[in-house]
Amino acid sequence: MLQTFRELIGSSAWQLLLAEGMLRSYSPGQAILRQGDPGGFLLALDHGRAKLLASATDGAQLLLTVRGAGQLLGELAGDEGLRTATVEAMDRCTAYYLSTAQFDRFIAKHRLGQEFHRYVTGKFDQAVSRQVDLAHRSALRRIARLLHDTAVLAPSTAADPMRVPFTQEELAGSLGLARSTVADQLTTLRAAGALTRGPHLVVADLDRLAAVFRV
Amino acid sequence: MSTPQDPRYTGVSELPPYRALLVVDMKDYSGNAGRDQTELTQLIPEVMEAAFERAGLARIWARKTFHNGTGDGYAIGLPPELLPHLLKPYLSALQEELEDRNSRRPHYWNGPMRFRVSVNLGPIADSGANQLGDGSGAERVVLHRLLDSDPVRHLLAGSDPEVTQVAAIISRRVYEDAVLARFADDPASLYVEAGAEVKTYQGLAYLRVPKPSGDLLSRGFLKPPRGAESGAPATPAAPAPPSGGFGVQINGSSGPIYTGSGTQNNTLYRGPER
Repeated sequence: MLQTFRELIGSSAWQLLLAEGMLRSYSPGQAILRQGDPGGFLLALDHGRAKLLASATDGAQLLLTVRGAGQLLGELAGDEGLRTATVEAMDRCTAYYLSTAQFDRFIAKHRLGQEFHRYVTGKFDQAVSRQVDLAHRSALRRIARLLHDTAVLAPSTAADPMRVPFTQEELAGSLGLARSTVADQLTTLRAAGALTRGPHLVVADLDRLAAVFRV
Repeated sequence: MSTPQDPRYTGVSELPPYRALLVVDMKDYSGNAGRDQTELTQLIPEVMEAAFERAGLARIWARKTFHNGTGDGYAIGLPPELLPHLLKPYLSALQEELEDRNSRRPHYWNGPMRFRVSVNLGPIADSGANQLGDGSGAERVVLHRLLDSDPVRHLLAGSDPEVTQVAAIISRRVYEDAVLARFADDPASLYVEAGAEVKTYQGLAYLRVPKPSGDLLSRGFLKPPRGAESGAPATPAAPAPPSGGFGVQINGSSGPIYTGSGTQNNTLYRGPER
């Protein structure tokens, strides 16, 4: 999984970064960033999970990934660029807003250029590996990975951290799979004891789930 | 002849720092047995803190500049820029936190734990070290006057204790600065204007209930609950819903009737006609 920016710079530097920003709270389902909007600022996500969605020209929405606390959102657009994805809150989220200029000053002042570079490279690597997944990995592995990462990133305050807040339709649409395929794979994961039995998507065993895509 | 003046209070002075002020008060605290009150007193700030965590705002609780217990309540001061977060998402998170705890409350509590909440903003004495005298100022007085005012009391008295566990009142200043200016990202229509009058305080305030029920839905936020006008106790003799059963409250002409799989209650109390 992607190393967080907080892990890369350490929690005391992370706190200093937050202190430079302005606190924002988001309700579940609220858009934090919108694809196509201008850049100029970024957000340091401090609590909750957010999903990244990209819309194709035909209107289909593809779920790119899920980000948790300690990640930066929107830092790639810089000052001139546009948002490449929509970011939507999955939980109650809190994030700290910084203008690109503020962030650049912070990085320079604390000599964190290398760490930031590593962070951006890590995101790029993650995007590439997901493309490989999309083209070459089985549906089962892609579903298992998404469910695993979503559960691992759940905030401690979540009513049920193992509950994955996606419907089968969302999973199908977002992974570019047929709904029947998703249903079949979920049955397989339930039979393997990785998911609980029942109407909701609830992870029963993170290790078993991880074993499916780490083979 | 002039009165000698304390030199601390002469001359033009700077304003004390502005603070966002939050106070909660537990309804029917004194209805609990004395031996349980200590536990409840300690529980109040614990619930407040847990609600900040639930809202993803654990860092806000850590930034409080002063805090005092008030016996059946707890007051904190925060940097003023944090004000909007106290309205949203905090009020809803507090309601959820109370729901969660009330659903598994110990049998000896005198009913579910319910909070009146008041929010204000203004210049407040604050040394930053939580010393005696910190948190004082005219707006702190207003904060407590609002908390004790009838409109916010009526909100809890006129709603279902098992459903509505938070009722909030905010000052006009908070309404203008955080709600009307849209920093709180909450539609202004969620707030109901009310006149608040307590002791020498008289002013406009705004009511907000994250999860309304009972009379608040059928009669609105501003009508005093049935029984309050006629000098009867603020809480009409509403029976507790049958525990353990599925109950539906019907507001009949002779007071609330609970139907369901539990005991059927029909109170003798007859509220004043509308």
